[in-house]
Amino acid sequence: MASITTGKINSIAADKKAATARRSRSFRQFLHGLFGRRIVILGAVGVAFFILVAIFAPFIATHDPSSMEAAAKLAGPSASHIMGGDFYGRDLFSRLVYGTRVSLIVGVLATLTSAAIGTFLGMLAAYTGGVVDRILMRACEAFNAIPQIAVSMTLITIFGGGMLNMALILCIGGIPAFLRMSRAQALTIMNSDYVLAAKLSGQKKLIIMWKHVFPNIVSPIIVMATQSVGMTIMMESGLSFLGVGIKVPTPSWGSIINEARPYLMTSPHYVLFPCACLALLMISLNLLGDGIRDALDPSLRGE
Amino acid sequence: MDKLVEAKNLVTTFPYYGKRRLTAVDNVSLELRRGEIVGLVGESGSGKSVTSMSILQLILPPGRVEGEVHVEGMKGNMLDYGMNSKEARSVRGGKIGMIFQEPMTSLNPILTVGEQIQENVITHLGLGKEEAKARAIEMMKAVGIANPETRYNEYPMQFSGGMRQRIMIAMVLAAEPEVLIADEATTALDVTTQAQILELIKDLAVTRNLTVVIVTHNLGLIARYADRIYVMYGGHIVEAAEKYELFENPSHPYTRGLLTAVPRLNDRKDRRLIPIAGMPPNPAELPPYCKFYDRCVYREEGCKKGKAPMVEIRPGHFVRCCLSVEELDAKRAEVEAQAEAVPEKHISNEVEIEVKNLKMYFPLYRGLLKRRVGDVRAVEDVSFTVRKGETLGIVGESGCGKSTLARCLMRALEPQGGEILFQGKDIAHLKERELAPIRPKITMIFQDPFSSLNPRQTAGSIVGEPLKINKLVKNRDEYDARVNELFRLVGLDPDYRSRVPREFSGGQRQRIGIARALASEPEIIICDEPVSALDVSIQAQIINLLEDLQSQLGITYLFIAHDLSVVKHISDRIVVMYLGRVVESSPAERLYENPLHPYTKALLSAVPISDPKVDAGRERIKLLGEVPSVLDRPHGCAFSSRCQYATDHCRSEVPQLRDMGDGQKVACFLYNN
Repeated sequence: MASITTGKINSIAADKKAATARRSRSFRQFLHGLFGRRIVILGAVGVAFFILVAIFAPFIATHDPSSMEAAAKLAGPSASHIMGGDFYGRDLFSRLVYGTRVSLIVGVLATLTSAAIGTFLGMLAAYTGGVVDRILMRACEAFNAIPQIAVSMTLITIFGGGMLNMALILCIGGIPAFLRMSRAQALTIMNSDYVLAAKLSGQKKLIIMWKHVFPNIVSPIIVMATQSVGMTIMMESGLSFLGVGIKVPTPSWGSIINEARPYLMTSPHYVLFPCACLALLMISLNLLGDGIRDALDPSLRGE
Repeated sequence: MDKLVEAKNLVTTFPYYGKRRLTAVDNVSLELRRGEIVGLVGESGSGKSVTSMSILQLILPPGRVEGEVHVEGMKGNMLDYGMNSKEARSVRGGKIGMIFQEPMTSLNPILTVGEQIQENVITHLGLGKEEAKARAIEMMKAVGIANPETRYNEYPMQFSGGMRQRIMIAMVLAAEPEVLIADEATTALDVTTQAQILELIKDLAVTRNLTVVIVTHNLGLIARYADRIYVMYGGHIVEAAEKYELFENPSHPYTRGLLTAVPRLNDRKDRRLIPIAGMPPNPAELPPYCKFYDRCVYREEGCKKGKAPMVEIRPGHFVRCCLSVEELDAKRAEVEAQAEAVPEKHISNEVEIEVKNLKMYFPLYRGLLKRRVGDVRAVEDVSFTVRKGETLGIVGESGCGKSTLARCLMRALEPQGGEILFQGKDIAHLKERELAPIRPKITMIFQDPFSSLNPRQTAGSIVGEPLKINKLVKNRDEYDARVNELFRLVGLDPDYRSRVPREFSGGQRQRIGIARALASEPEIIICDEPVSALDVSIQAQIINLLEDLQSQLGITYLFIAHDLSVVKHISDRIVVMYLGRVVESSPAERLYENPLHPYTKALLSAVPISDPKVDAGRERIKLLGEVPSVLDRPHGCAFSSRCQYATDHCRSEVPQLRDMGDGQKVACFLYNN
């Protein structure tokens, strides 16, 4: 008897071990799929670079981003100011380094919250159907009918700028897209045979949503989120460029581009460097996003 | 007979991991003679489609075709010209035409069907626009499309599946090909439509002296329509012979296995299918020796030595096997002695489930305001009873309401009217809460083994879920023991519990689905097309498993399928449905011997028997047209629009089921005396 019990415990332990091994194997498979293409590695390296810059900004920046130096006013790149100076004589390189923080934090924070809220509401719409679904969908349509930039500008005027407010406002702008997508995905999954099977064996609807529907809609949402980070950073820069975003003197790429606008002809480096940063980050994010999408899509993995 | 096309030592490879290449077609030689119908038969992954595509040079790089293809009237090896050469293009679509499986996607939806046929005529025959149009209309007439002049200007979406396939044939024929390759061209169609299309192809082959290649997995179709047959397995042609020769003296172990694995309409009631062990091979993992070795019951150590040569055992009968026919025949008795007996059934007189006048309508909304304009009457006035321990088969073509009926019985849908008496209790209109104790008693096996399992769940948790929901186990130990027991019951290794569905093959997935259905110790299992997505050899495994489980556990089955041979094999009684109504119900044996309703007769005659001699002797009943949509069900008897015996009476009044004795009931005015 004792040996049977031990055997069983062993088999359960082996079971768990196998499950862990399988999970790590599938994760390795995912990584293999992700980095199988060289261009994705390039994207990942780019994103990692900007994240490191944001984390270690104080060590990388050569100057205090807000200290002014009359001699450096609109100066071109030199040994002491590798990217030159801005209109107030602040070190452009240091400002861009700190600006990375703002861009990334706002982009990631806004995307994460809007993905979480949007997915929750989307699944709620799919789960309840009927009136709740209709209200949520009409709200999305109404929201999409107004240009997002106008909404954001109005909200910022009401709540004021600042990094957190900015993230909050951009988050609100991102919700409808996630809501629509997760609702559509959830509805598809809810029509599948395995959900019917669970329903027919008497499973509660809420548990079905959590156990069967949610895990199956996560990967398209992850993909959408990766791509949405870039869009959000773009949006933040746009708003800052219009002068309604992050308040000066906090450096943000958008606001730097805005400041540099009048000197486009006389000091081209002033506008060139922040634009290049923005473009590089955007490209990296898009490459990585595409890579994740392909790696998560089983149909592209040849299975 | 002259050879029209000859392929010699064709080898088609595709790149696989790293520098390795997988061989999809391995050393295939075949010939097509003028005016004959050739059948190319094999399971999925056997290389039958790749072979036909290789001959047409449709394999795109990095795929590679080596060997020789000779076409009559063309000098030298066609493969030497290259796939985009003028010669290759004149053969493809010109001399050899091809029709594909999906009539929905092979026609361009934004061009009228006439334009598409006309375009083909202009490209291949170089006619002017008006002449081409005249020819297109002529072709449409030839493939049996009524009013071709008007239908010329219609779009593909205005045609039904069968009609689209006719258009495809017209399009291919318009270029005056000498060879027509039909690659699973009728697989997606209903049985009666399939029979119509194949009859058409056969007629065309005779009238136009056309060579036809039928590529299919269906042995019955080959038995009925082909003259000469190539059997493929693992990229090899394993056997080739004239039709009667092949079915009378099947020699290769695979061919022998296939013939004993498929159910036939004329089977004895107690015939047990003999499945081929294992599963169809993955082209990437084929052994260097005999491809069939792993699944072969005749195998010997010597088979592993090298590839078997193609041997002509009788004039025109080629076999690729290491063993000689004498050796195979000697072993045959030994192999057949191993066949299991049919498990015993215990059918009691107790009624397990009784359905009375069941109705299921779906509302139909139209217009801007979404007004309810009518109902889709998916299930109309259906009644039947099922006794404890028996198997009731429900057959019908697509749109006949059989799946809707299953979902009503499962109470995934609430029927509009009627009663479903489960062990005497009406469950038709129970609320979800009241259904809770009944749910575990009625479970379901689904058609698609891919979409019916959650891809993110482990097999163990899929099977164990009903146990947890219904609190059938007390603790973790009991749960594990029960899940392991269920795995063994359906023939799966319990060690596979922690795997996810995509790590299983189709047949294994279906076993997981069956284990899930068994978990809550059900009284009834509703099987909705449980084997139609599986390969022939796997089908037999699952059918046998279902039969074994029934005799072990005394479960009642409701077996829903469109394949009459399978339903006839497994069922004790059969209900035939047409457009939401039951037209005939009868004991399984009797339905085959003495079908009464004209639809049943037509359905039976449309299903070929995989034995050409028996099949040739059967009465053929041709049906008019195709299954109409449930939306415009004909007045009176739903079948009246396609029935050759229909009278005015049939068109005005709905016939009711009448008892004809011997447990047979039919809904037809022909039997009203």
